[in-house]
Amino acid sequence: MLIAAAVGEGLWQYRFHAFLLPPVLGVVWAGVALRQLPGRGSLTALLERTNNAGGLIVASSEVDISQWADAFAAARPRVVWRMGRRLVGLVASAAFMIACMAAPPNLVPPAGMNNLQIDHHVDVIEGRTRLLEERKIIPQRQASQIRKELSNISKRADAADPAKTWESLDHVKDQLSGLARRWAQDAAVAKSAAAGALEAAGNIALAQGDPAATAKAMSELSEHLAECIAQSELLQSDLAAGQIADLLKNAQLGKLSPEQIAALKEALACEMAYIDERLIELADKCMIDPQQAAQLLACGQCLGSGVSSGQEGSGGIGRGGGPTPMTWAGESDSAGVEWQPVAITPQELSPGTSMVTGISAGKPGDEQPLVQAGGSLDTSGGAGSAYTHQILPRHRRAVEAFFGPGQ
Amino acid sequence: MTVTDSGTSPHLVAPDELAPSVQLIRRVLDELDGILLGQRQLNRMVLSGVLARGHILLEGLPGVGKTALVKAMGELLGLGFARVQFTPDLMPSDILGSHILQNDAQGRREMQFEPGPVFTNILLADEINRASPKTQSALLEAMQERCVTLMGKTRPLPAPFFVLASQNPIELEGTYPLPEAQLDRFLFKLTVGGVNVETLEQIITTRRRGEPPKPGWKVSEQQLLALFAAMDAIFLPKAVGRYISRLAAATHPASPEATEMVRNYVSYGASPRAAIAMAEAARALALMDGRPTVGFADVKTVAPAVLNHRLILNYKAKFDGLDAFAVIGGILESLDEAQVHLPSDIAIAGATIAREARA
Repeated sequence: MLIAAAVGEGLWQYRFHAFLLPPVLGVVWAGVALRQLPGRGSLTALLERTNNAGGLIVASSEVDISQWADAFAAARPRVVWRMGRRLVGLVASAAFMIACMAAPPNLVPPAGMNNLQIDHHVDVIEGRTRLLEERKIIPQRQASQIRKELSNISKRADAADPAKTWESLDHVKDQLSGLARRWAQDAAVAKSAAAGALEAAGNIALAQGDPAATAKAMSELSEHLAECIAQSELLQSDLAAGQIADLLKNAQLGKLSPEQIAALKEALACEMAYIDERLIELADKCMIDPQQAAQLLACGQCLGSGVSSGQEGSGGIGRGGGPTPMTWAGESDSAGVEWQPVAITPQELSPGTSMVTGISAGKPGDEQPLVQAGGSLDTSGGAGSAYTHQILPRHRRAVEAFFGPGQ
Repeated sequence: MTVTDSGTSPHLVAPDELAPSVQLIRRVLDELDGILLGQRQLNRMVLSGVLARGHILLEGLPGVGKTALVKAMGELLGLGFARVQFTPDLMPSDILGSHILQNDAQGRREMQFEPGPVFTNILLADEINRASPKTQSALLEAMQERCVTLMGKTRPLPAPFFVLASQNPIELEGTYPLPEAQLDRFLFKLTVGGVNVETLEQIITTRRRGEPPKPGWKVSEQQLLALFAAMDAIFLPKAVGRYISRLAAATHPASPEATEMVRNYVSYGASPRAAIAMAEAARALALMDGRPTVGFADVKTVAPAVLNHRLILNYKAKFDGLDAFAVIGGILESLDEAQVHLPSDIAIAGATIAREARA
């Protein structure tokens, strides 16, 4: 604390601490080394072993060996430090430390130690911005502005006051999410318009030979196409360009050839796929709510399925397809459902002469597999179409009541 | 002379006091080297064992000179010598002696003790592992207590008393391995190897029927007592004593200083008697070298001979082809005498300088 008060806060404080560290470590190391120093007995034993003195050196601490001094000339062993790599490492470390300490202060980030690490969050927001820019959901100018804002937030990120930084980041995130949500809503409208246009184009094909119906369908197609083009311009998609505009003029004039209708259908399908793809991307980047994305993806699908099946549909999300006449594919087979009781003879019933080979709901002796008493005779019907199922007679009334008139 | 038991401060024996003993030992060694050719190291180890007043087990093939060495040693030291050929039917009374009924001068009949061959100074127990455990055990008291108890009466053996036993490492059928307790009473177990071609040539050309020459000189009783007194004057520094203790402890698998090899291959380590034996044998080596103190090198020299028969190795050692000498070598290599654990980048470069200084 005194040192900190003496040198003041800031960069010099850390620099001073860095200079203080080596002497402290040196003192600790010296303490440890002193504790490891061998005792006198060990050293005399070492000297004895090294000189091969025949016990005279180790005995010198216990008895007087002066009478034998002439007979023996002891040599002190030389301690050798195999420096090698350790010395190189030490010199390199010292050079590195001196270079770091001597570096000019302007090369060292002044607030480096107080920086709040927000790189990951900035990268995430930068990725979202790039996506919106590439998909033309936001203009390039707006993307640049957001990037500049992110850069400022990074520079000003201070660990001492993190709330400010987090709030700024949340603000940018919300801004991007709002832009994405608005685009998704526009996209939903555009997709509905495209789906309506697609349905109207299908109706034109169905109304061949009926001028009144054709004219009505042409009129609907023109309305949907106009809306579609308007939304596409909003969405910056390719639909508004070129060919579709020409087709719109022809539709307004009531002159669309079957080839033009086919091309129109293809363009509209592409537009819907384009919107779906963008919605998925936005949902993946967490810019729109996944549930909202699912609803938007489902939008217009019912219309499309109704058109493709050639039946009139009621439309809307989750309201089922067009009404289909309910037909029963002949009478159900009674096999496996009803059977006549067969009397078992006492010999067959005897435990000594009979054995249990299995339990079945079927007639004894019938080798058919076990049939469960369900609503369908086809036990593998779960994977097939509804037309392949045979509904047992006892369930037909319930099925008709559920899927009956009004659907 | 070093005095430790009486309470006075220890001091080293003077060079001129030690010199006669050293000269005597060198003369004995020269004589031995002249009798048993090509076995200089073995001669020195056997003499150090005798100076340490320990029993020695010699292991080697027949005809390598075990008996000749022991006989020569007995003759040189002017000591009584007896040889017993151990066989499976040898009885304890054949070694220790027995009581026989005899008439005394007054004509009364009484049991008189007839001493066995053990009542000598140097007993050569040839092929000791061929005798039954009962007979082998009869030697236990004689070797440790240096006395014999028969019919409730204890009789001391002549001083000094040494058992120099031999055994054959081959032809193990019909043998009885020495029990661990008896093995532990042998100061050394020395392996007697063969000699080189030059030595063989010298034996053949200079000795008729290979008979070794008789020593032309022998040590008197006073000289022998002076040698033992000089042995007692050799000083064992505390550092060397500690090294011996650590060495003995390191042979136990549970010891913190045990090597990996000891933990893996040793079932039971050396007894405290081994540490005492190492100290005594190292003293003898120091005396033979003309030094008043025991050094680390003396301990390292005697350690294999002292420890090899005291380590009980497990079955893994047999499978891996390891013997006790390999284990002891590992311990000697890993055990630092100075207990200075230098860092890896610090080395001592004084050995060369020291040699130069001594030269």
